Formats: sequence, C-alpha cells, structure tokens
Amino acid sequence: MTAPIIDLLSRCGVSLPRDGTAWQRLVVLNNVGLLPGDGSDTELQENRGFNMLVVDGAGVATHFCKWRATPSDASISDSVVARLSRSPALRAVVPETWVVRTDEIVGEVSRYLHGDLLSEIIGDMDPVQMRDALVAIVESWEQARTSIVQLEPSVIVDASDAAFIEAAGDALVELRHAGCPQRDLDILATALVDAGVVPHAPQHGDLWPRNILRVNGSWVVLDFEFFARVQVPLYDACHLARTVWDARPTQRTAHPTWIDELLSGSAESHAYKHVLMSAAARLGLTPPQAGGALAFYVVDFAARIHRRSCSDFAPYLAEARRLAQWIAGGRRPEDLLLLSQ
Amino acid sequence: MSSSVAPATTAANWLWIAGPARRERGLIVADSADKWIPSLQYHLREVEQQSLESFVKGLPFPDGHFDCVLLPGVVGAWKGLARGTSARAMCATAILECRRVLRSGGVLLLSGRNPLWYTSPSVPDFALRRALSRAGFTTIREYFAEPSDTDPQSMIPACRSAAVAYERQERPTRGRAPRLLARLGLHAAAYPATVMLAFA
Repeated sequence: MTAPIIDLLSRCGVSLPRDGTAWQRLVVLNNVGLLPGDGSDTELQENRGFNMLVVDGAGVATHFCKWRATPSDASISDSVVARLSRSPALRAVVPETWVVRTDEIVGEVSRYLHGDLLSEIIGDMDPVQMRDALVAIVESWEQARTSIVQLEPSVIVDASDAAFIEAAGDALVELRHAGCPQRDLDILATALVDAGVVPHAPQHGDLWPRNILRVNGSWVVLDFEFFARVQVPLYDACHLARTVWDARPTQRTAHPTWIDELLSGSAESHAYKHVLMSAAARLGLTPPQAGGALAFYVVDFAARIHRRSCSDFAPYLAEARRLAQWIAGGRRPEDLLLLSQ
Repeated sequence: MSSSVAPATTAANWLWIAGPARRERGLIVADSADKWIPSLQYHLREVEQQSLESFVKGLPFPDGHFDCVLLPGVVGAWKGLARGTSARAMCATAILECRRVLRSGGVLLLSGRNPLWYTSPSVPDFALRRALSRAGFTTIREYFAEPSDTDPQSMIPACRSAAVAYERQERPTRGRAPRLLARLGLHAAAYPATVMLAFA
C-alpha cells in the first residue's frame, strides 16, 4: 500500500523504510483545509492543505513539507525554490528545498534544520534584544533576497516603479467589502497616492516568527510559498515587526493595535521604528516611501486576513482604521516612524 | 500565517497518507456525518451514508462494494452504541460488516475519543485490534489526532518516535505533560482523539 505522499517524497530523495512502517515516519501538522480544494477562492485555496514532518526512527525530524493544491499556473516561487536549493551561497539563510507536484497537489519539501523558532524565543527578549534580533534578521534576509534577484531576475515583475495606490487597489476594494467605512478608505487611498512610487522589490511575503529559525546563532528563513507575490519594498520588515508584536502578549494587551503601539513612545515602539527605519535606509527609501510602504502593508495585510475568512479579522480592520484616523489628524504615514512620536 | 485560517473540511485529508489504491466508492456509517461527507465527496466519486442502526440488519450493499468505509466517532464509544448487546459484540459485528462491504485493498477508518485519554475503554484496544484481525484486516495503523478526530489538525502516528518529534516541533517550550508522556513512551495517553486505518 503506497500512499500518494510517499511516492512524492521519494522523488525528493527522502528515504523511507520499505518494511511497511513508513507511515510511522509522517506526522501531519497544521491540517487546515481539504486538498485539492474546490477552486472557490484563490487566497483561501492557497492556505488549504497541511504540513508534514518526516521523522527518523529515533524521533528526529529530517524534513519539513508543505502540501498545497496545485495552482493552475506554474508559480514563480517554484522556480525560485529550485534555484535556491542549488545555490551554496544561499544555504546559510535558506534550507535545501525541493518542489514536487501532481495534477492535484504540490509539495515543498525542505531538509529539516534543528534550531529555535523565533516564535518560541521572541517573548523572552527585552526590547533591545528584540530590536537587535529583528535588525539582524531583516539584514540577513535582504542579503539573501538580493542574491535571489541576481540568480533569478524574473522575480521582479516590472522594471518600472510601482505606484503604492495601484499596488493597494485590490486590498482597498477588499476592505470596503469587509465593512471599512468609505471615509477611512479615502484617507488611506489619499495617503498612498501622496506616497508616490517605489521600485519593485520581490518580498518573502510571509516573514513572520514561525518562518524564522535561529540555527547556531544565524537566522534561517523558511517557507517560500508566497515569495515575490508582493513587490513593495519594506513589506517583509513591516510584517516581521507587526507579527512579532502579535507574538508578545504583554505588549498586545497594553495597546489595542500595532499602530497604537507605534504611537505609544514605549521602548518597544522605538525598537519597531528602529527596525523599519534602518531597513528603509538600507533600501534607499525616502521617508515618504517608507511611510507609504507602511500604509500599504497595513491595508494589504488586513485585506489578506479578510480573504482568508479568518474569524479574528476585527483587530486588523481596527488597525487600518486607526491608521486612517491618525492620518486624518493632519499627519503623514512616515510620521509614525519618527522616534519622537 | 496559516494558524488562524477558518476551520475547513479537513477530515478527508487522511486519504493522502492512507492511499487506498482506488478512490471510487465510499461509505460512511454514522448517525451524523455532516462534517465528513463534503470532504469525502472531493476524493470519492460516490459517497453513501448509513446510520449505525443499519448494523442490526446488515449493511444493504453487496460484498466488496466500497473502496473505503468510515466509522467515525465509534472508538471509545462502543458502549453507547450497543443497543441490546454488549460493547464488544457491537464492535465485532460492525467491523465484520464493514469488512464484508470493503473490496480487497480497501481501507476502513475508525475514529473517536482516545480511550486512554478518557480512561474509559468500553472496548480495550487489544480487543478492537483482535476484532479487526479476525475480520480479515491485514494491516492496522493508529494515529492520534488533535484537537479532535473530526478536525484533525494534527495526526501523529501512534509510536514513540513520532510523538517525540511532534512534541518537539509543536510544543518545544510549553505543554510539559504531553512532552514528558511522549518521551516516556506513554504517548498513548497524551492525545484526546484517535484515528485507526485498517487495510483489507
């Protein structure tokens, strides 16, 4: 009895016992949606499927796999992952990975790296430690991202600059459907228009604490499922800072939204601002571009959460509205990043 | 970020790891199968449903008719299902009947509350396995499921090595009790739900 998954794993060079005990080596995790799905909604389909841990006979994980529905077109992340797995220069930041697919499912199979997930250690860091860790992660990832672009120039969808308002068009429509008042949407749209344009820069797209691993003192980035879907620079740094805030419950209870945290003047807020501003400086972004990227992120992330039909969407909508209300007071998004705020 | 996605019909993803050779006809025997049928319909061309009462008269299908048969919610609950008979007799009858309607190479799924978690084994694990073996099932695989068998977000093979790896991955710094149980080889008491796959 050979399961479809076992056949696919063997194509990645994963060796499993042939004595009928291979099933004991496969642990299903995060089973959050039926495969192959029903094609009803793109964003929801992308999140259907399950993850899997391949373990050896001693209980040591050897591979981590993500199984998702096969997209109708060959996704850009497939070719990137294949290239990455052949690039020794990137192995320090990106685990060795294979992609296998059938007509129904596609698997991203990575060699398992033993280390500490950022999500498990971030809560114990003080604001300075957190700031230094996030700066190191963003720097390390930026270097890897630059190498990826050199290896695979096609990941940049357009050589011309991207207008923030165009990039956020679908997200603003989604937020309108989600019940965001038109007045708030108009304020956000105006801020995005004012922020102007920015060079396209492919982003990881899901750089959050469960996709970052500390291995022997270095930071490794996992999961390239959404790579290059977002092409607005600073998105990854914003997402990392925002989701780290989520992972620090003592901070979450102190402020209703991440925007309120940034406005609080706390040591924590200074750490987030430092991470974002140092990343923006390295990328050569002007303050209005950095502010535009932050506003784009807040709008886009809230819309992504809504598309996924998440039950806990309200805080993300509240965040977008809080940003709109703050801008309505005569400020610009980039003012949020000033340490004096 | 996938952890906060709204619950979907995940209950049939086990077919990817179980691998029945053919995926044409399926039968689910349960009084309430709403959570299972939509997901099974993605994988199987035809899905039939019967109530548990139908074991009394026998399932109204010819021998070897189905590629897979599901008996959700029965493990740990045989006592409550036994109507006018003992839990063990109910278990044996149901399994024999499921085997009859399964074709050779087909798979039977049984799921429910992990009796060791709830410390209420109406039919002990060894008796269930013996009933499966006597009915002609040649291979039996047991998984633990979290948080439940109808929403198995995690499926952990019932062996120490898998449980240890799972705990290391999912609960590296919290949930000491399951981690300790896994390390001590007492993983069978560490999870609330169970899923068994028996191959004909």
